[in-house]
Amino acid sequence: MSPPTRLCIIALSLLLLAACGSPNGPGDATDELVIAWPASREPASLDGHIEPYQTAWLIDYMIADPLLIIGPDGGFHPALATGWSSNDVADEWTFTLRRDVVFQDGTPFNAEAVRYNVERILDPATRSGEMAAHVGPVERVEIVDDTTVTLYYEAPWVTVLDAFRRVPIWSPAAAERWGIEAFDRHLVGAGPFLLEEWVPNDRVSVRRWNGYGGWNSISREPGPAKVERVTIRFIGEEAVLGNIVRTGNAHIAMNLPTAYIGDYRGADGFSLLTGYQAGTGLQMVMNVRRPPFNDIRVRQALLYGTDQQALNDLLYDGYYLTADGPLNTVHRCYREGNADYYPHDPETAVRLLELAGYTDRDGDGIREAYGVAGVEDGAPLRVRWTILDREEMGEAVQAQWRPLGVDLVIEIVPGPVQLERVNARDFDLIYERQRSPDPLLMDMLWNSAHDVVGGWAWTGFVDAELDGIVSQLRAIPDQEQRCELAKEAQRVIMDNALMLPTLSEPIFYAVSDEVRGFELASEGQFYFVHNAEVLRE
Amino acid sequence: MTIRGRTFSFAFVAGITILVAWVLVALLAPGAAPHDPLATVSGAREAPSAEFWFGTDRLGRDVFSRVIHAARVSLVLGFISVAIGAALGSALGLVSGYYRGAIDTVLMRVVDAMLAFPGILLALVVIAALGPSITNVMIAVGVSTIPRYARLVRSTVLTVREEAYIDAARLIGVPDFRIMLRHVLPNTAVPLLVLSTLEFGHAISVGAGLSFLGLGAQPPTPEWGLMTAAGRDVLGRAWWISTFPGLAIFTVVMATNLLGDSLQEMLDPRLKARRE
Repeated sequence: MSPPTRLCIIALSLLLLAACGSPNGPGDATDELVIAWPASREPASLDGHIEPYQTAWLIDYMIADPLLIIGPDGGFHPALATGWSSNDVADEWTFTLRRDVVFQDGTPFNAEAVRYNVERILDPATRSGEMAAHVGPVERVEIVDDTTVTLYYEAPWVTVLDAFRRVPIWSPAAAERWGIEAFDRHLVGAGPFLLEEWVPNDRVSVRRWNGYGGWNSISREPGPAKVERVTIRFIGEEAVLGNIVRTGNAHIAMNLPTAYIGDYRGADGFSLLTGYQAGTGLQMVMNVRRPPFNDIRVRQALLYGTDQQALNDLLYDGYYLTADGPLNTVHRCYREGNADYYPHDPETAVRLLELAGYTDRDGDGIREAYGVAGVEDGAPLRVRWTILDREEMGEAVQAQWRPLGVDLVIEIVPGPVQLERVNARDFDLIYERQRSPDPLLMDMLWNSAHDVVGGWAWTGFVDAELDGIVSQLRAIPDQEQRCELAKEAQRVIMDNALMLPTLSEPIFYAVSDEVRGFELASEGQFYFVHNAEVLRE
Repeated sequence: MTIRGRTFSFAFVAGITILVAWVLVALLAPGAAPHDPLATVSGAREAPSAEFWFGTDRLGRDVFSRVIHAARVSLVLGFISVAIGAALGSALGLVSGYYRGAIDTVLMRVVDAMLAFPGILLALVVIAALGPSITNVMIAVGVSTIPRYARLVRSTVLTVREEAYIDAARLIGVPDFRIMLRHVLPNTAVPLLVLSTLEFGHAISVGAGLSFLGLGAQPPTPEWGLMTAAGRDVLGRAWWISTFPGLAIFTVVMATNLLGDSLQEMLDPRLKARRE
């Protein structure tokens, strides 16, 4: 064999070997934990002070510890704060901070840093999508000493702990250095990992910070995290996400599609984790400002005409939870009677639509309006279904409503377009989901005072009774009383048929047995990797 | 194959047979489909069986019935797109080639600019401007094929306009419009027919591609591209949802290509002579 031929064979063999291994896969990089997310969960900004979606906060959890966390047991536990207290009326909140913490850039964590973060969130220039609403109307932040800080509120604010368990505490020096626009590429906190890179539409990588002191109470040991690197990969295709752990290209798949659950449940080498998340469920809120949803009979008809259990069985093999009201069934303030409000009853739905003035005179199967105020006679009963994803759910509802004579038009839009539609109040039925174990979200979503641009009350429904009920949720600390208020609010919402409950989505995780120490929080969308490690084979 | 003394290639017979079969399927769809294509008739993702020949999709709809009904949408899309492209493209090519000079220069630069974009990109631009719908896909695909028709017709017209009978017509005072319509355009019929046959399959394939991307037909319309897209997330466990509509696209496009190529061979004297 001539030397060039031999050289070619060696080169080809090396290329072949290189092709067999995946450099980013877990097979040859056991110090790296690879987690696959659906691409739709990629946030627009990694800065949780700005970004309204929880997945940004989940990434922030790796880079910046908050003051406190909700642990797997559902209780509040210390992180950068060692303790907290409030006065009786809950308009003064004091946090005691750890002494031994520095940020990843070497600057100290102290009361001044907390004040900076609170003021940054509330500064209109930050354009906080949601966190400012959670932190609430802080009048001033007082630094008592280096490790004690007190927040004074304009009004009682009982959900401070639930708010601050989400707030990443950033290094003021780094945040100032990079400014609002660029900081999300250079995040600096006091968490177990350093932000390495964010490649939009592809991945986010974080690298172990060896200066981490394990000061989050979730950490089992003091000191740095065990795994060298965590990479979150954004996967666009469900089929790829469903198989990615089985094929060894990721250790964990978050939001595993239900069609793939059978591949992991009870399978050797894998485990399947299920996280439930208290909140609203996958609800579609109705725009009651204009026809057809300004007529309660139409709203009620569509609730009667929807069979949530059939949706669940057909689309998700029954793995989801059916929803029947503004709060999902795993929420502690869920109202039991919601299920009895609008049982699946197509006949009643048809009768209500007829009463509302919608009838099918041209025989095309779709009803037209006759004598409906604000609608031209003969206009078809067409309803837009505006949602970020889950086209299949829209299609299934479309199939359920077609026999009723309702033409459902599905409009899949990205998040920013959804917010544009909301701000212009240009929607019929629009997807709005919030996740929180606290009933305060009822105030956020249903108090007409928040029916403003940037607010989260979208329906246009104004009702003194409902506003009065939900606004008390900001002031009453007693959990039982709060739940009673939330249940009362649910009753009013269901009486007025303001939203269409569909399903509630558990979060399924496929986890390779190579992973140890991966822990779900009490809310399904949150997890901790502080103790995670990948075992070498 | 010889029919009434004329010899037809296997490709021609196969192409026309498949295409006619699909046209018949489309025409007879309401009677031929065993189920309502929009109705949930069974459980989701049921495998092909005696009752559901092509299985059911993720909403429990009969894939066979949907494939049959989708033929109507796709064939109409092909016809209309070709009609738009052929009508506008031929008009451009005819005017450009007949008058030449400044008109030719301007029109051909416009055509060159359109040719600079890949057809699918041009179609995407049109869809972006008009919004996603099957009607707009027809317009988009039709517009994207205009340059090809324009180029083809122009090149034929450039030859035809030099013929003696065109000069004669001009000399006796026949108006330009009439000359173009009565004497020039008929000479472009053969290449136009061949191109249109090929473009028909191409239009169906591009239309299905746009629907696959969510830019064409909207749910619950049965459309092959949309149906193929709907099954891709579960391809490993419910292959039939994407496979059968995919096969439908494949057979129609293959048939039009076979037909187009064999028509070209039959009608182009140079190719015919070379073959003989």
